[in-house]
Amino acid sequence: MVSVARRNLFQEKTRLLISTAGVAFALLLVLSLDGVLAGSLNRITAYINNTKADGYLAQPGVRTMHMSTSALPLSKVDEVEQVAGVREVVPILYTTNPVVAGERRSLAYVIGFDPARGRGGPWELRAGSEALGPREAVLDAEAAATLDVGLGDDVLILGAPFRVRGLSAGTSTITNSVVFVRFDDFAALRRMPSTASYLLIWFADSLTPEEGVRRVAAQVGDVQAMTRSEFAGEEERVVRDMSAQIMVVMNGFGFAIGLAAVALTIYTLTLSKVREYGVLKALGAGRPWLYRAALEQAFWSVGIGAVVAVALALGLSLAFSVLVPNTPLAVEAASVLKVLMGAAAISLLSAGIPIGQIARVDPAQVFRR
Amino acid sequence: MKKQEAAGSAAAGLGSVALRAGNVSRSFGTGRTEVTAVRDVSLEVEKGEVILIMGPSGSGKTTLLLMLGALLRPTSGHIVVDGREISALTEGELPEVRARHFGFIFQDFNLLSALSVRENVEVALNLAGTKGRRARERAEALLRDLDLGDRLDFHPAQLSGGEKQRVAIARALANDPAVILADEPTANLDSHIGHEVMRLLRGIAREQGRSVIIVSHDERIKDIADRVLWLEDGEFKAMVSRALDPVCGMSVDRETAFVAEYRGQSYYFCANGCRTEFFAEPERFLSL
Repeated sequence: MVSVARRNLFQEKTRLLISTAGVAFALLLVLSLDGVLAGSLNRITAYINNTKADGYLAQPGVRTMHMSTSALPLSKVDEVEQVAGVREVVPILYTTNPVVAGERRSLAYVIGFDPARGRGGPWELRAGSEALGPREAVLDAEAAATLDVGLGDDVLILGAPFRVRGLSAGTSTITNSVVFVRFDDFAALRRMPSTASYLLIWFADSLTPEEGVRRVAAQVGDVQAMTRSEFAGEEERVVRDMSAQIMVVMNGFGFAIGLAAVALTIYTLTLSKVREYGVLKALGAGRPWLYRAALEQAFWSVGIGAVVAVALALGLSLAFSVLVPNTPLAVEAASVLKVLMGAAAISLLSAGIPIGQIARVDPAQVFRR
Repeated sequence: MKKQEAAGSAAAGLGSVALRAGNVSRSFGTGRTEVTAVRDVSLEVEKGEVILIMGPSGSGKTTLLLMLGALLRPTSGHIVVDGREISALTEGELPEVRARHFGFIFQDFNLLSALSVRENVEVALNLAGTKGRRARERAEALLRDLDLGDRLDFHPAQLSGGEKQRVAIARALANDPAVILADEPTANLDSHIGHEVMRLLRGIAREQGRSVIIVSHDERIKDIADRVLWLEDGEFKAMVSRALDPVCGMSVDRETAFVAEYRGQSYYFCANGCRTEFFAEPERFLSL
């Protein structure tokens, strides 16, 4: 079957290119914003997810690390270890503090961990070592570059000088980074000798994290017990809640721009082909046929733009990982699906314009000169 | 052109009549602004007949053609094609009638610029329900019959005027219609190509048994027409007693026109003004 709609659309390559670009960049805006948010969330929860702990224990009422303060007595470690099915308990200290190098400052989440335990510290090193000695630290590689420091250089953390022993990867976001110091250094500087911020828990293989957390919560009083996924989920929710409104607004802008781009193209295209639609009506094209043609035109216009947008977003994600590694852009399936559904809605809406125009075309006009 | 079976079926009650228009009128506007473009016109067209409708500009020829082709609804009267009263059909029923019973040939060809030659014919088939390979093969066969076999993948912009009109003729024949309606089919063509188109139209009628109704100012088409009808002021008038005013081109009734003799020949004028103008420069009007 001859597709008049597709032929008309592809007849003028310049117009098609402009329309496709308009839709593509509009949808790319949506994908990019979603991607930056998803990338940020991945980074924000990177520490939690990469510890591979089955459960987390915090001060009662504390369900996140971001924007929270938690303090547990170190004696809780023994209590938790007594719970059947608990394999290992590792305390960490946590706070938000700037890393200072000369005149430069970089906000960081400071994690105090025990390097000998092999848990709770950096999961990927770009250089150096995580086997920290006293007053040694692992800095995020991107943050170190911002601070213009490298291995062996001194920085101020928690107000005290530390030597950079290692540089980690995947530990920075657009706003801050994670820096690792020894648990005892952290405790001494903060005068918290018998305190932990969070306890990381590993359960025996026979115990699910959910059951393990339930047992701990039941047996160890006065704590907030969560599985790793619950803890990461809460962390994500904080960031999502903060950005939800702006995301809705920017998504709306993106889709509106896409709609305007395709609507303008289809309007001008239909206008330029009004006489031909009159000819088609004279040849016997009924309304269903003509409306189908208008819809097909809209779907092609938007569909091409959507595919280009997804391709560009994937390219942008790759470019970000190389050029701006502390601002990852993660193109997720849910976002692509949202964009494709939005594109379908744009197609349907924009098809209303040519449908209205075509319905008014009088086939008798092809006889008029 | 290859012979094809006669078009249309012998509809009950019509015998060899392909189209019948009875007391058809069409008015535009209402009240004091009402204009009657076609007034109480009746017409019967036999299968295989070529009808030429002539008349001055504004006489209602195109309006009549539009009504006969189900593109314009008559204000009154009825039109029957292949036993079916098309003037009584709803708007939703008309596309199918247009696709299956009529083939249109336009003065400006009206080919779809984004489609190839083959696709321009194929789309007409698609509209009548013929799809896929069957439509493609039929389109190609029609085009080859019209010596366009080596132009199948060309686009209209790459064709000459004569080629475009032949594509339009192929498109008009695509769905085996009973009636071909042609509006000034030779107007944009040189004389050689115009003759070729006329020959094709005559062949369509004679060899394929289709009725061909042509609206045109082209006097040459009289040579292929079985009947020439003169439409003026929305009504058919006899041509026998008519002549053309050499100054304004209007057709005038010889019996009532202003007459003058020049070099032994009689000339008929619509008004005294035209007669006066003629004699001021007679050679100028005779050379046109």
